Amino acid sequence: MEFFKSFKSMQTGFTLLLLISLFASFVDVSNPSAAYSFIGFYVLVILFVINLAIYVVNKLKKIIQILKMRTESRRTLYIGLGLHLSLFAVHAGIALVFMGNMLDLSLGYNQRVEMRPGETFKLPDSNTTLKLEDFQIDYYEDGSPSQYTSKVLVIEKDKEVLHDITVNHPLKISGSKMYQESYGWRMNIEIDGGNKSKKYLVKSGEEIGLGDNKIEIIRYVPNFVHGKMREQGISGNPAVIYFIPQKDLTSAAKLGEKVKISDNEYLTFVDKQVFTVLKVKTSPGLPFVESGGAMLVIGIVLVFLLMNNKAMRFNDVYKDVSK
Amino acid sequence: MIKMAILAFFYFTIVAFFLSAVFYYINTKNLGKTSGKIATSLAVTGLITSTIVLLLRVMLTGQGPFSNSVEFLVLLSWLCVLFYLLFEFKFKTQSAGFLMLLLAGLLVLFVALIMPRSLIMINSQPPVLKSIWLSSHVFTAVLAYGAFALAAAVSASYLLYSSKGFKELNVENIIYGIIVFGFVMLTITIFLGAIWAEQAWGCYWSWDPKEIWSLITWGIYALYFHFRSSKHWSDQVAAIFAVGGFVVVLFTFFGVNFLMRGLHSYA
Repeated sequence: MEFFKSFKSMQTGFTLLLLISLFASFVDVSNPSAAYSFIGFYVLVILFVINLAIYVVNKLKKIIQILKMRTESRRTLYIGLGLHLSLFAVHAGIALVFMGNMLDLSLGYNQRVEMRPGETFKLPDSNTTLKLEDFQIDYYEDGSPSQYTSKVLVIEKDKEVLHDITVNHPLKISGSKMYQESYGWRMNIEIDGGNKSKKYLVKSGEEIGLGDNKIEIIRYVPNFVHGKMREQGISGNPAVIYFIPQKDLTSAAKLGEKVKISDNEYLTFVDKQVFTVLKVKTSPGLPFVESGGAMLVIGIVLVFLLMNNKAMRFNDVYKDVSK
Repeated sequence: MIKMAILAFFYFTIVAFFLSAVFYYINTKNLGKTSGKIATSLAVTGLITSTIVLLLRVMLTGQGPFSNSVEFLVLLSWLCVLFYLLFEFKFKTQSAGFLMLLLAGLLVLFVALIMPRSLIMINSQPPVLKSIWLSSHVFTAVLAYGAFALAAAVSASYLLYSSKGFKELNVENIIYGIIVFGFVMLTITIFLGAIWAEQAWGCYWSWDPKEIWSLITWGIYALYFHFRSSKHWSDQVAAIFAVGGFVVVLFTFFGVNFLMRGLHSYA
């Protein structure tokens, strides 16, 4: 009994909130593969939600009690009722947000999908297929990217509809949401060793092993400017920046240019293929989080408005509502 | 030309804020009317030049000052002074002026020392930052931080020289009112940030350092409201809470932005 009394207290609630924050500071809780740590996080959140739930149930009892009350001053009754309802909304809102977050972490589907134009992807648990028609990058005048757009054809039974997915404008289809997360380039590379040649398809950041030697493809730049490693715009001087560790050499080569990498080996970046990276996810907890968040914000605004209206110190109200 | 004007008004603002702080300090020591009037005039002058800096910056970039640390800090210092002057005119006390103007001066001095060129640089906005949710998220965050700064300055001034400047004022109630405003704004900030993060990254809460520390800050001020019911509560405890809360706010901004990596690293 004593344990329950101290567990349902406000001090326990705040301690749990602090522990959850500290836990999340040290552990990547968004990564379910860290299972052991994840269970500890789950336990803390569940205890916190239970602590809030006890408060919410008590508050509900209080609200019912007020509704049964008979008083001459209807204004006081309404303000008191509003205050209790607001406090109910605040605490229930927090509980809903945390519950929704846990639902998303445990039941939500989340996948990064790399697609080249022409490739398709079937959405999980549905008959909907996505086909990437095109991927575009828009640029500012200074050459930095202003928007990334994946043009996708959504194929559902006999229906085909073209949609744009851009940064900050996800696409919602069949219970899944698709976000423009990233993009990249794949290089078609040819290594000519005199009497034989080999072909590779490599992404930025990947390496090609050539016996004892290797070549790291750093990045493709649409408009290479000497001395600048960053992307400088859509057209002009396309080049690939590469690194040869055995020579400790970082250099850039144009598409089609033949580069000597050893006495009898030549490397050619034949062409490049752009690919988009879409994040595909389902979020079963999102309705809880959205409604919880709205309840929290509206509740907090109302609590302070009504408290001001009641012209009393928070501690007086708190003493009153905590009975 | 516009860049030169920004720098000129910006450096003038720094001088005005610090000079104002000095005169407010003299005023607290000797409560002479002249030093108080000079201090307020300098604060108003600094506020005007700071407004010009922000307007010129908007003209230069073609967008609101909501996309990087420099803009945030200049906007915050501007708001600190604005909030303070409103406080001074409403409650007819200059006691918090020294600390508030000192803080505003330090914020702009930080920009001048650490990121002097950033104020006149035009960086194209990355696609992820082009969102109305982001602008409103940053705007409410500045309002929250400004309110917490004022509450802390009033509280610290009260703790340092309560007998002089806060006679006939219910300091605890004033601090409470300011923190209520800041807390509501902070809650809205977190909510708007979650909406933006959901649209941009498909994740409304990533437990990145800024989010965690915002939650801790929110928890501390929520604790303040809950502890207000405690029997040990007094004006002094309220003031200590307000100062402590603002220390966490400062860490949430400076510590997280400059020492930790996360989704807010660009800020």
